[in-house]
Amino acid sequence: MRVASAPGLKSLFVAGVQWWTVTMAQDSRAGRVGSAVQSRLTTGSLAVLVLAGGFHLGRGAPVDGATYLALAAIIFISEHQGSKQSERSGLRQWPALTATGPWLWVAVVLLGTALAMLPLGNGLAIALLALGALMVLLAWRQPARRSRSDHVHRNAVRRTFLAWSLLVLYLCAWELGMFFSDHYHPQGASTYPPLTDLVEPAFQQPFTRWLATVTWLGACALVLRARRGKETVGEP
Amino acid sequence: MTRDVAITGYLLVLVLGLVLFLLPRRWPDIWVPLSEITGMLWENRAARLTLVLFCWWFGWHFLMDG
Repeated sequence: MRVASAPGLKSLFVAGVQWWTVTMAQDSRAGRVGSAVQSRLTTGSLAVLVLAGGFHLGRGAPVDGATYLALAAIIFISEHQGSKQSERSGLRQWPALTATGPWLWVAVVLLGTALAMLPLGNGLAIALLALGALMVLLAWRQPARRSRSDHVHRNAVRRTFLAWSLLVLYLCAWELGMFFSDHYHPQGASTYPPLTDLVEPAFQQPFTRWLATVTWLGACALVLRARRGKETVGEP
Repeated sequence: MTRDVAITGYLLVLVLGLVLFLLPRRWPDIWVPLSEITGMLWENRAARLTLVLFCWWFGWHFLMDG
């Protein structure tokens, strides 16, 4: 399961960001998100998942690879069989993380404590896989499409999107540069530490492991709650 | 020294990200909030699930390694 600093994954992430950059820049020029753009986003995302899964399998991380490929297969089948009708009918039927109360963060702390501190053994892998499945389930529901009136500011949207994309691309390039510099440096590891190597020690000591785990779970909760709080019933 | 250079490169990302995050507050007609951008991606199921999987994978990767 160890795939620290997998260059394939990073390359795929760069490719995915580039895909989204081009796609969304085109979208901004068009001033709307059309079905063609949505189709390209879906195809690009599937390509990223399949390639990431293949790289993980090739690098001896079968669980990681199988996870990526399984999600790609599920999305592909869903998109192949899905229709606008099923999309609409599924709008409000799937569960979603809409909670805003403090119990959510209490749950994050409790779960993070259990994952980081308890000697779960093989149960840790099972718990994490179950958590991943739950996250996919919670993210499955299609949110209501937003009003397009905000595209009056499409130039601002395009400018902002390109700026963020360039920043992410810079991060990916830096990470790749550090990884390969470190990997092939004659003085050995940690000369040019990639971000993953810098973060990994936080998961080694008990307190920092607990803190990093809770932070990670909190970030996952925030991602899953994205736009859910503003979700309203409307045209899909 | 080389390690400091590597870390500086990552810190630069944080600084630039903070700048991009704050720009819409100062010039809302020129820049839009990050939530506007992520919302565009979030509307596509495949992109949304890909982002969620990458988010999950970080925890999986580090916890299983640790």
